[in-house]
Parts: sequence; C-alpha cells; structure tokens
Amino acid sequence: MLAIFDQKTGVFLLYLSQLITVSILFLFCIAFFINAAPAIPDLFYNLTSTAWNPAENKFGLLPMVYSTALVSLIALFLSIPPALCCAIFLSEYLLKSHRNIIKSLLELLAGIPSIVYGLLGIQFLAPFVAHVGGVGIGRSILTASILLAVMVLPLIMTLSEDALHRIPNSFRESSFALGLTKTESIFTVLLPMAWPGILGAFILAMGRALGETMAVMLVIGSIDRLPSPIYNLLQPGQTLTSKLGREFGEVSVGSLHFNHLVLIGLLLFIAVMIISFIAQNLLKSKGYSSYE
Amino acid sequence: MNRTNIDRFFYIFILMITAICCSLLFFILYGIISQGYSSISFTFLTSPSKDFGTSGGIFYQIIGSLLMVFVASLIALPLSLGTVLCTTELFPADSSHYFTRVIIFGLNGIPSIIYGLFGYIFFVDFLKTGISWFVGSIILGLMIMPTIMMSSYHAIQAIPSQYKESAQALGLNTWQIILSVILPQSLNATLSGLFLGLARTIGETAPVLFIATAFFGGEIPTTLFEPVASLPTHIFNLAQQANNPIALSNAWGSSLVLISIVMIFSLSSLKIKNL
Repeated sequence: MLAIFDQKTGVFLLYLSQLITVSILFLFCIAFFINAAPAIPDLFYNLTSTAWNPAENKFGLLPMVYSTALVSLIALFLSIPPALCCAIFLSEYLLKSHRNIIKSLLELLAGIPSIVYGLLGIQFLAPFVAHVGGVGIGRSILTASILLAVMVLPLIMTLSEDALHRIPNSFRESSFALGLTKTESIFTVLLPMAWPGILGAFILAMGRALGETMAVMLVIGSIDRLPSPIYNLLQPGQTLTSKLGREFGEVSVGSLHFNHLVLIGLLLFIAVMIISFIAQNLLKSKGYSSYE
Repeated sequence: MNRTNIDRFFYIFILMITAICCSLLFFILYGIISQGYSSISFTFLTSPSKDFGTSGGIFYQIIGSLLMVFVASLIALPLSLGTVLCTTELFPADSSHYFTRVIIFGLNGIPSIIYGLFGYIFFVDFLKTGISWFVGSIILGLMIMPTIMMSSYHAIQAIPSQYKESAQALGLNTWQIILSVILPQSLNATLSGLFLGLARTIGETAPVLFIATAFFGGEIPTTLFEPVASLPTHIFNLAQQANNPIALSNAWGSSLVLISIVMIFSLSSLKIKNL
C-alpha cells in the first residue's frame, strides 16, 4: 500500500510525522502557559493562602497542594514495603516459569482502569474506613491514600523486580561462593546494586500517584480546607487533580477562575515531568556497570 | 538466632507478604466480577440506557468507547510509526536515541487529566470544534502513541544490521528498505504496542470527560463531530449517584464489561508479541 510513494514522498512523510509529534509537545506547553498567564503573578501569594472562593477572586492553593503531597506520600509509604517484598520473592526465590506467569497476571491487574478502582473505593473501602474510623461516610484523605497504594503496588513491584532481575547471575554466584546465605546476599549485594532502579520505581510511582484523578476524586470528599488538626487523615480533603476534575467542566472559559484551574494543571504538569525525568534516568542507569 | 534461621525466617516472611499482596489483587478482581456478574445480561449489553443510566443497558456506551479508540488508533499508528522511523532511519544514531526517549517519556509521563485540559483548551475552545468524538480520539491517540513508539523502537533497534546491509547491497533506497525490511520485521511489536496502548486508554475517564462524551449519551454519532457515549464516563456518572442501588449495580455491570474489553486487548497484545 505504501509502495505507491517514491523515496522523496516517503521520506517527506516521515519528517512530517516527526514534525507533528514534536509540535504537539510544544503546543502543550504553549497552550498551558498562555491560559495560565493571568494567574501566575499571584502564584506565590496563593500558595500560602487557604481560601478558595472564585466568586470573591480568592484562589488559595495551600489545602490542595498539602493534600496532594500527603495523599501521595502516604500511598507510597503504604505500598513500598509489600511491593519490595514481592519483588524480592518473585525475582530471587520463584522459578523462572512461575515468575513469568505471576508477573503477567499482576501486569494484567495493573491494567484495571482507575475509574473501576474508584468504584471499588466507594463500595468497599469508604464504608470500611467509616466503620473503623467512626467518621461520616468514609470519604477522607486516608481512604484516597489506601486506594492509591493499591493502585501503585503492581507498578512498584514490576519495576523493582526488573531492576533486581537485570543483575547478572555471576554476582549471586560469587556471593554464595563467599559463604553468604541467600538473605545476606540479597541485603548486602543485590539490593544495593539494584538500588538506582528501585528508587526510580518509587519516584515513577510518586508521579503516577500525583497525577491520578478519577479514583482519588471519588473517595477524597472534595472539600477545600486543611484538615484540622493538620495531621488528621480521617477528614475529607481535595487534591490538585480532584479539583480539576470537579470544577473544570463547569467553569466559563477566559475567567480568572479558568486561568487558576489551568495554572493548577500547569503546576501538576511540571511536577510530574520533573519527577518522571528523574525516574527515567535512574531506571536507565544500571548501577552495577562500574563493577564489571 | 543463627544465620541459617534468619535466612529461613526471611524466606517465610516475604512468602507471606507476597501471598497477601497477590490475594489482595485477586480479591479486587473477584470483587469486580462478583458485583458485576449479576447485572450483566443479554438485554443489558444490547439495549440503550434510560433514566440517566439508572435503567436500561449500555449498548451505546460500548459502541462509543470502541469507536473512539478505533479512530484513536487510526491517528496514533501512522504518526508514531513515522516518528520512530524518522528518528531511527533518517537521523544520526546518537541524537535519535535521545530524541525518541524525550518524546516517549514526555508523552508517557503526562497525567491523564492534563491531556483532557489540553484537549479542552486547544480543540474545544481554541479551534471551536465543540465537544466531539473526533477530539476525544485525537487525545486518546496521543495517549496511545508512547506505548506504540516504545515497542516499535525497541523492535527496530533489534533488527540485525545484516538485514539492512543486504538490502543496501541490493541497491534499495531508504524508503524501499523501510518498506521491505524494517516494517515487516517490526510489525508484530508495533501491533502488540498498539493493543497495549488500547488496553490502557479505553479505560481512561479524565481525558474524555470534558472533551468527547455527552452525559448519558443516547445515540451512536453519525459524524465525527458529535459527542459520543463512553463506558468509563458512564461508570463515573453512575458512581456519583452512589446512594441509588440500581445505579450502582449498573455501574458494576459496566465495569465488568470495561475490564473484559481491557483484558481482551492486553491478552491480544501478549499473544501478538509471542507470535
């Protein structure tokens, strides 16, 4: 089918598609900067203000930034230890054939759409938190954190398992030859060597958690205020993403309210970009290349 | 406790943690299936929704979702193949590697709601396309692109250099080499990447929520510039009415259908990869 093009047209088409792809990335940045521009001068004031009331031109971002950071950090805190244990078990103890089966099953589970996690959160997790915590309908910062922890668990597990599995077998054999037990070899040889990759997995999961919208939006309660006292996880909150999801559909284009919502998007965009670039560099680095 | 016992203890400890994690994930799957199973029937799958989605079926939502990702893949496949071929075959090797990585990780890292915002700002507002099927497809196409690019890029890198050298020795020019050597050799990986991308994007709610879907959309769109109904946004709308048990049970039914579609796409991706 494509053979109807001669060399010149074909090469032109390739350059054209490259140009389109690159210009899309530029369009992204331009569209966000232009629409967020009117809101940027007040950014530093708004980052310390807690009141969000578009009718009175108050756009305090502090509660949302705080909840976003809190929710993602707690989610990581909850999911890292079990995910790391699973990764070690899959990579170091399980037979290779079993490992592939379990890994592809877990990767299929990782493909469950976030809206379905949100539904699970509403149906099972929120009543559970309400029952145990004894508060309201259970839509709280803690609920969102637990849900996010479950969502990023397969991601952390797969990526850190890859990092462990990439280490050449000669390192395992040498450490056994020195008389180390398997546990000692894992803690003194394998984990330190795979550490950049594992750290990359954590950071990537952090980026995923920051950008997650639907599931968080359904269970966090969407109330724009700091929890009181500030460490109370059982109160509803609002993340940057849930703010966008709740209000972006209803705002009139071009108003200051719209500009501030786009600015929230821009902040999120920049944060996630920085995080994923750090993560990718860590995941690419082998860590053990200097030993070889 | 001596060293051997610590070793055994550690083994049992992580075995237990792994078992707990796996059972947790399988419990999730079981929860979805057991909740959704009861509301799925032939009429549920083939009749349109009524009363704001609380009764009736999800026929138009299924068709709408499939139509949207179909057009998305028509957009994403040529564009990402072209980009990858351009960087690997036409650009010098060093810069191409860096360039492709930047594009792939750039597109891959962007949170899904940001895609939705971009679609709204650029297409719906700036280009005045209105809320439409086509805009949703473009945005979902952008989200599929990194997955396709990643797998076809790796496949093209893995083609032995003798293949290309033989083709050059036969006097083929760059475009002919691409058509007769590189595309056939990387076809499987590209299609596998496409299906993986489809599995990821068909469940996306946030990007299409503001730009492509009509609330409780009633019909199959006749042109590309009409709003379309989609499964994820349908589930979202029903989940908002969590106090209504019928709405919730319909939401579970829709979730089960959605997950089955995702699984079909993921399994075909695995299957194609191993062909």
